[in-house]
Amino acid sequence: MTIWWLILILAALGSGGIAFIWIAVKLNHIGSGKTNNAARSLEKSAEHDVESIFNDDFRQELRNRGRLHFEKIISENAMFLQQDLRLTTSQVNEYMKSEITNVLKDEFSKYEQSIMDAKNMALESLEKTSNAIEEQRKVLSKEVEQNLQAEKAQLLKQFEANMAEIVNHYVLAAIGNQIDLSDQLEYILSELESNKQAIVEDIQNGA
Amino acid sequence: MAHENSSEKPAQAGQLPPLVVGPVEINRLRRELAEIGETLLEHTLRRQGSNAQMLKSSQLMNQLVDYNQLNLLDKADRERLSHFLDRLAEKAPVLHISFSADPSPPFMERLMVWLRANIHPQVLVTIGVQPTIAAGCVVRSPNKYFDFSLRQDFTNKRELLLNQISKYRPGETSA
Repeated sequence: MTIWWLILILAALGSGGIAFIWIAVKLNHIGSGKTNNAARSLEKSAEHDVESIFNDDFRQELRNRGRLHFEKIISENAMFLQQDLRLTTSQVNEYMKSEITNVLKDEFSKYEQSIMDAKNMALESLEKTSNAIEEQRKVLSKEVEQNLQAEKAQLLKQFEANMAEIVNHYVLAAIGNQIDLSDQLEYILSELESNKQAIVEDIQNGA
Repeated sequence: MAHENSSEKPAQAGQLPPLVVGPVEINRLRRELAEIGETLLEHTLRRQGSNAQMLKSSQLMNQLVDYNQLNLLDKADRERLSHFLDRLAEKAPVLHISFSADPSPPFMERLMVWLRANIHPQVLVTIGVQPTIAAGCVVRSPNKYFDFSLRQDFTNKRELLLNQISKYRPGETSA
C-alpha cells in the first residue's frame, strides 16, 4: 500500500518538473530573438556615425599630429637616452676605475704577499741551509778532531813501539862518529860476562 | 926467529896467542907452517956453499911459537904445531861478533884474552861490521844469538825511556 502511494507521488513530481522545464525553455527562446534585433540596428547606426565623423582628412590630420607627437617623444627619449647613456658611461667609467683600482690593489696586495711569502721562504730556506751547514761543519769538525786524535794516538803508539829504533837511530846520527869502540870494551865485556854461562853451554852443546 | 930448543916442551901445543883471532889466521898459519917445512927441507937438500934463502916467519907465527915454546927448526915441533892447527881448524869453537866499526888490534887482543880465559881456551872469532849497531856488539854462537847492542839496550829499557819522555814538558829545560 505504501509503496504504491510512494510511486504515485514520485510520478506526479516528475511530470510536474518536466512541465516546468518545458515552459522555461519556451519563454527564453522568445526573449532572445527580440534583443538581437535591437543590437543590430544600434550597431549599424554607430557605424554610420563613425563613417561620417572619422573621414579621410580627419584621419590624415590625426596621423600628422600623431607623427609629430611620436617624433617629439622619440627625440625626447633620445635625449634622455643620451643623457642616461652619458651618465651610465661615466658611472661605468667610475665603476670600472674603482673596480680596476680595487682589483689592482688586490693583485698588488696579493703580489706583495707573494713576495713577502717568497722572501720568508727564502729566508727560511737560507736559515735552514745555514743551520744544515753549521751542523755539517760541527760534524766535520768532530770527525776531523776524531781523526786527528786517532792519527795522533796511532803516531804515538807507533813512536812508542819503535822508540828504541828511533832513539838508536837518533844516537847513531847524532854521535855515531864520536863513539869509539875501545870505550865500549868494558860494556861489551860486562855483557859477555853476564851471558857467559849461556855462551859456554851453547859452545859445548854445539861442538 | 923462534925459540931455541927448550928443555920443557909440552906434549902437545895448545895455546893460542891473542893475535890469532879467527879461522882466517889459522889457515894463514897452516900455510905458513907448510912453507917453512918446505923451505927447511930444501935447505937440507942443498949443497954447502950454494945460495940459500933466509927463513922468515910472520909476527903471528912468532907469537904462536913463543906461546907454545916450540922450535920451528925442529921437525917434531913443526908436526906438533901442524897437528894443533889442523885440530883447531876442524874443531875449535867459532863465535861471530859484529861491531859498529872495524875493531882495532889492541881491542881485539883484550877481547880475545877475555874470551879464551872465560869462554873457551881455543875459541875463534869471526868479525862482522854493522853500522846500525851504534854501540855494543852482536854475538852469534853456534846455536844462539846474543844482542848486546845499544838498540837492544834501548828496547830493554823501553819503560825507562817512556817514563823519561812522559816527564818531559815542552819549554822546560833540565837543569
